[in-house]
Amino acid sequence: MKWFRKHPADSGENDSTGIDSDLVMNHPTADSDKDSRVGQVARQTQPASTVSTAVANHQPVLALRSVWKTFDANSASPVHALRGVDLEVAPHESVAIIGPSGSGKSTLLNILGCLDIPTRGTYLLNGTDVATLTDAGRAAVRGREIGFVFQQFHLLPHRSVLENVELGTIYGTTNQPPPARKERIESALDALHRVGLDHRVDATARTLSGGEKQRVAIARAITSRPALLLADEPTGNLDTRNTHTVLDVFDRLQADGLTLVVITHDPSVARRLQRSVAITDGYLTTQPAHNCATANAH
Amino acid sequence: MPTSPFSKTDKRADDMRTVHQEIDSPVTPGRVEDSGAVLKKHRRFKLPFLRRRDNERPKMRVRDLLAEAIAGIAERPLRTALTSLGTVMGIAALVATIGISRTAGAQIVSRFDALAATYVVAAPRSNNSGGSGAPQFSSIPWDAQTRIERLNGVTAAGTLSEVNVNGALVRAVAVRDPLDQTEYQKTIKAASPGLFNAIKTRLTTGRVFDALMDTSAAPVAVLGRVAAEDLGINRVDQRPVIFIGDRPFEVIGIIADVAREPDLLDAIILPNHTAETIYNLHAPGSVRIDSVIGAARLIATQTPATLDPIDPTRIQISADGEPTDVKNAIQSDLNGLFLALGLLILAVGAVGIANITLVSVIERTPEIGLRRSLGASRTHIAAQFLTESAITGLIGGTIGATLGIITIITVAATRQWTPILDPTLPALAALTGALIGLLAGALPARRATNLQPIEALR
Repeated sequence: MKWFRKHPADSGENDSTGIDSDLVMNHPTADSDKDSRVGQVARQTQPASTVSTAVANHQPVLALRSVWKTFDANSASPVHALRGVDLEVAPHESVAIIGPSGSGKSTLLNILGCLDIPTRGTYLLNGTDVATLTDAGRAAVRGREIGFVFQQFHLLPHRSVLENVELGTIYGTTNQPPPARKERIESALDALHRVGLDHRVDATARTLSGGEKQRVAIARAITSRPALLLADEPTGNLDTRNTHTVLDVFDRLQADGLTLVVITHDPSVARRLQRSVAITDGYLTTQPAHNCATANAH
Repeated sequence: MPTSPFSKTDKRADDMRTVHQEIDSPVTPGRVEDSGAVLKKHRRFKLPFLRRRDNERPKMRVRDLLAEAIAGIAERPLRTALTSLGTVMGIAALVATIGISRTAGAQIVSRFDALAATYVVAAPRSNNSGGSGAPQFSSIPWDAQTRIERLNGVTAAGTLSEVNVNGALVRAVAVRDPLDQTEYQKTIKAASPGLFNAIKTRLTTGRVFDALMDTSAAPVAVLGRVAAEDLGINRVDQRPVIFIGDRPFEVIGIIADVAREPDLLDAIILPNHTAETIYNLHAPGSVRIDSVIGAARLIATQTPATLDPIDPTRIQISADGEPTDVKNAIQSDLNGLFLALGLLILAVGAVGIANITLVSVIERTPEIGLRRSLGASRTHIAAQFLTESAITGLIGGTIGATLGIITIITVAATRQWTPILDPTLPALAALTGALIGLLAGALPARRATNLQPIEALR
């Protein structure tokens, strides 16, 4: 029994409607052959081999389908931050998105986190087409499906650790109202236990060390048991020792059933995850195999 | 076509493809758009009242909202205190002004009540209200003063009558000077000696006439302060004489002030019988009675029968006497000034709250982004900032109302007045503070709402 909320696919109800990977691969593209770079895109969306047998028949947690993001679209020189990105992440999978700054990494994160919407293309998060939602609808999806971890931690410095973690559950949705205070505290304490911070529950957030702060931020992100944990450079402000602590926490959470997407520029962080994809100039490219996850992909 | 969770979407995308190709712009480099983007394109042109609502929207408990707002305020106690200072001062000024003016007003009223409660005026009922020529028979007897003084509880009584001098002018010099104004139109009144006590007369100089002067019809007169000034008389030791028409009257006293009948200050008062013999006053016009506190009612019922035993209904009793409004008017001018000042301070206080809340929004931009990422809607963000500024205003209003009440009580205590406090005033003041905070928070809240979560998290 996994601690994290079960994905609809886990129940086996959707076995008959599982993804046909071939269909994903050959998603109709009008003239993809004309653009060789575009042609390369999305080939890595094949589920990683180690999990493919378990996941192949499952609905992915998130699926980006030929997503474009264009800024200043009406100006003389529009900026294409994403150029037809395809990506699927299966339940309980951990994926690293690596790329230099300016590669479209942050744009991709914003779209994955429903903070922004694609200019074109579809983004399905747990089966919901995010692009069709209003601002409020996306806020609801963020609250229900996604836990965020930021490089800057973004804790409320004057509040206690517990209060900071509790913040993760005060915003509910009309379908899933926020739990009562007692349940919130229970799940916050549980989350803090999972990141190994039982002993700092009553500490004021500003007195914590960087590693502790990031673990509190992780606890805050997972206390609502989201379908997906999105981490943006989670170790960017940490030293090596704390980086490893945080990555160990990620490992444990993933073992408990969390789906994890980490955006990073640090290859050593990426190496700790099951699968890596690289983003360069708005194109998603297959990362050279650094673990068994990509070994069987084409 | 194999079934897949996306097959429906793909089908829609297929249906839409032709449309896309038509509207495809040079910007889009030939990839297929699908339904999401199309929906978005259409949504962009929707009017606000047609805006679609999703089935699932963010939701937050009111209690959590309040708790978050209070925590947000409590995190920065010094800032909150300074922010609410303007409201504190404005509300304190308003409450103090309103309270003190009410306390002082009540004080004046209670004084006037004391005067009114001990004063009875009796006059003949005017039967021929049409006023058809000849003066009616008055039912007030010449000995009204002695009759009334026999009643229990009467401290003083006297008659007061208008005297018809046929338009004769009053002068203080024997010779008419055609080059200078020496003659004045003055009200001439006739009174019995007891009147001066009944209206609580204070004299500048001299004396009032006594019963002997009255019965002997002595040609003497008592002047009101204003009348004396007009006629140029300010002392009586030289036994000055005034002329009404061509008749001389010796001035024996000048009235400085009266508690009742202030129009007597501009009048010339003759003894009853002097007026009777010289000006044919056929009967006193009215009786003015001063009583001990609490007796006025009883005296009012007894007076008609005392004055006119044959037909008491011919006597009309009225509580006469207008309050002297001058002091009141000055008071209310001052009130207006303080009230305006209080409102001004309050407006400055509101600007203060707006300003600090705006700074707070800028400073807490990452927090706003974080809350948005945790699933808060724009409404929740706006509600939190509005609640925070409203609570700040409420705190300011409550402290201000308290300070205002302390001021009222202090002023009342030093002047030995009874403080008058409207019980709704403190509650109203606190609510006003909250309202000010709410209004002041509107602009910053709007700003917070318009922050994109992406920008807020940078």
